[in-house]
Amino acid sequence: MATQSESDDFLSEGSSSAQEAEEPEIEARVGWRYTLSQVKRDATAMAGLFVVGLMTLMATFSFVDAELFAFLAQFETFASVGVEKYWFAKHFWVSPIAEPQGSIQLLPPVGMENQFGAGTWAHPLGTDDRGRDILVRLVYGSRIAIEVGYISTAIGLVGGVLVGAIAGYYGGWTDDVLMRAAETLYAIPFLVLVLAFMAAFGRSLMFAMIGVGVASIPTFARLIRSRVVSVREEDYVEAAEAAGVRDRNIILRHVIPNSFAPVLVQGTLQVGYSILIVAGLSFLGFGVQPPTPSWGQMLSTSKDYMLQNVWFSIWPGLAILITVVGFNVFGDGLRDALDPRLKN
Amino acid sequence: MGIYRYTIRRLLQAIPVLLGIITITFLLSDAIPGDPVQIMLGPSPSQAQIEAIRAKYGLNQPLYVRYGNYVWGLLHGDLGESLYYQVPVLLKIKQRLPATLLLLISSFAFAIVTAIPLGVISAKRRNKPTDHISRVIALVGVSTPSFWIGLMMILIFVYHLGWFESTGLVIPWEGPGPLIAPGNQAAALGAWTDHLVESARHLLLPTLSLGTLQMAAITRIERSSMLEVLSEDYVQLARAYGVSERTILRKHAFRNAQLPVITLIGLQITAAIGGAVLTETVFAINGMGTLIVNSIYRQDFPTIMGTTFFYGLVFVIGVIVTDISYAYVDPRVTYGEAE
Repeated sequence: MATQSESDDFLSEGSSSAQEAEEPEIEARVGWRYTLSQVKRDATAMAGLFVVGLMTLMATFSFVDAELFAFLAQFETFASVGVEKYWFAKHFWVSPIAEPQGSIQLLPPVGMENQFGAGTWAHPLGTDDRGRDILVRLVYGSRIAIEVGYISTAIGLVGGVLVGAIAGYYGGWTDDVLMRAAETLYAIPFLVLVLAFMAAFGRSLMFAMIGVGVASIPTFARLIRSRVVSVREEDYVEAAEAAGVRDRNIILRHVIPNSFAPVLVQGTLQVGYSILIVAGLSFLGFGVQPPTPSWGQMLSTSKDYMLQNVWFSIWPGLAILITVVGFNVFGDGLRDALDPRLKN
Repeated sequence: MGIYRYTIRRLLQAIPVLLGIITITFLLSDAIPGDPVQIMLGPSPSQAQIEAIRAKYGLNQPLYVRYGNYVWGLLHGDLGESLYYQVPVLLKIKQRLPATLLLLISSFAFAIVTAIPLGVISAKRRNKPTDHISRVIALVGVSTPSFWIGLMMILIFVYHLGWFESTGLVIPWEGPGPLIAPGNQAAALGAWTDHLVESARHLLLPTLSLGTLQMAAITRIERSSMLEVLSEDYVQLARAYGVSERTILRKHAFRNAQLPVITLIGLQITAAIGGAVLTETVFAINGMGTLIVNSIYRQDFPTIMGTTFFYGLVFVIGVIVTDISYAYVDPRVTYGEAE
């Protein structure tokens, strides 16, 4: 939950100065560069940023190896040199989806032992119910979580910012209609709304992302609207209006950039929240279908094997936990940097 | 504006929101793929059977007529009839609501009772070890999937220790059943005790699983709200007068810090309703959440519509009640211009 106070002038200056600052001493106090330097001094936030960066890198790598290579394999030029889906994993590691012959199922991690045998370095974190390596599936599963987190947040952020900025800028009946619509979406519990959305359009991952994105529009809309209402009264907006700048340009170039700071913080936190929601959806059986690895689905499968190999459920849970902690910590750090008065 | 006029205005404002909820749920269920008739009648029904069912559920009418009928039905308290259970959706909600309600109440009770002291202590001992521990607990709490907490607790407390139960709920107020002979008070007392113990054994793990997230969220807001109040001028003044920290905390800071906390608790209720869907699945509880999930699997669209609308209605009423009680409780809240 964002806790920005509404009558807060620091934030608006903080984000506007990037384009408008002419006096260097102002730029030293505010602006993106200043924000970044503040974040750099915050060790916890940097740890969060590190986790976020690492997960994003891992997800990008998995995306390239899975989707890009699968796409390239359609073309003769690439297929003839051996490019295929999971090419990297198959050549330098193990395939995250193939069920290897003769591999032992539900092995524990290295240094432990259970009824199926002792853990080996070949499978450092153990194996799942089909004898697949858990570590490789965790790494490739990061893609689904990160992809879903970013894309659904982007949908909610862009949609919410546009709705909220238009409502706040025009006021009157436009405001009433848009905010009542947002309130309507807000009234239905988040997960229930996403479930109903997926029931209507399909249970695939794509609709999970769109559903979570649409369901988060009201949060962003309410947040930016409360800022826009005060930014609208600023002199530079009035000046732009007097100069005859078109509404669209005023909203896009002046109103939104100057109201964006709390949205950025909420966006970072929302990525973590979306990852949790989509993991929950996968757990219920809505989302990515096997054999594609995803953390939520690994957790869902592992619940039937908890007594045999508990590590099968511990690893994906920890992966989700660490990733979401990363986004939350980084988001908190960003908020402290953008508004030091809230720093506790 | 007087409080009565304010109340009436808030009620009127709720009408478009409710209509919006009805429209969204109606359009979403209309988009559900697959023919509901086939789901009901199996793979090869006769033409007459199909026609009869279509007529019964009004499926042969155009969209706007069905929409009108649906709204008309809602106005009369009719949420439609479940395709799968073949009983009114309202009846199904009545059967399923107690378990979910019990789960929500107990998890919020747990969350509030633990989070408020934790947040206050954290603020009081800011940047001391106690504060760090409580902040880590809160951070992990908001970042952990609730269903995973549930699974891990089942493993430890059910499979390994055998202390609690992992499936279903026993509703405490429904009583131990008619097995006891009337007049035998000792036996009745014993049965009630057993019943309540059994109820607690079923309830504890789902409560912790669902309540952790609310606990963590409330702890975070309680801490930051307390810190904000503690840095206010009037608290500094009280300190300067030599008022003890204990009294400042109790009399001056605590009360004034609770408004954002109450707001957050209100907002957390919808999050908890969503979380209950997962908790009920993990613990095999026959509540509203499992009803919704199963209805989606069965493409039982009247039930999906009915439950979604029901939750929307509860939320809208909840918001109005909160707004009006603010106006009563806090004289600074002006019940005038809508924010």
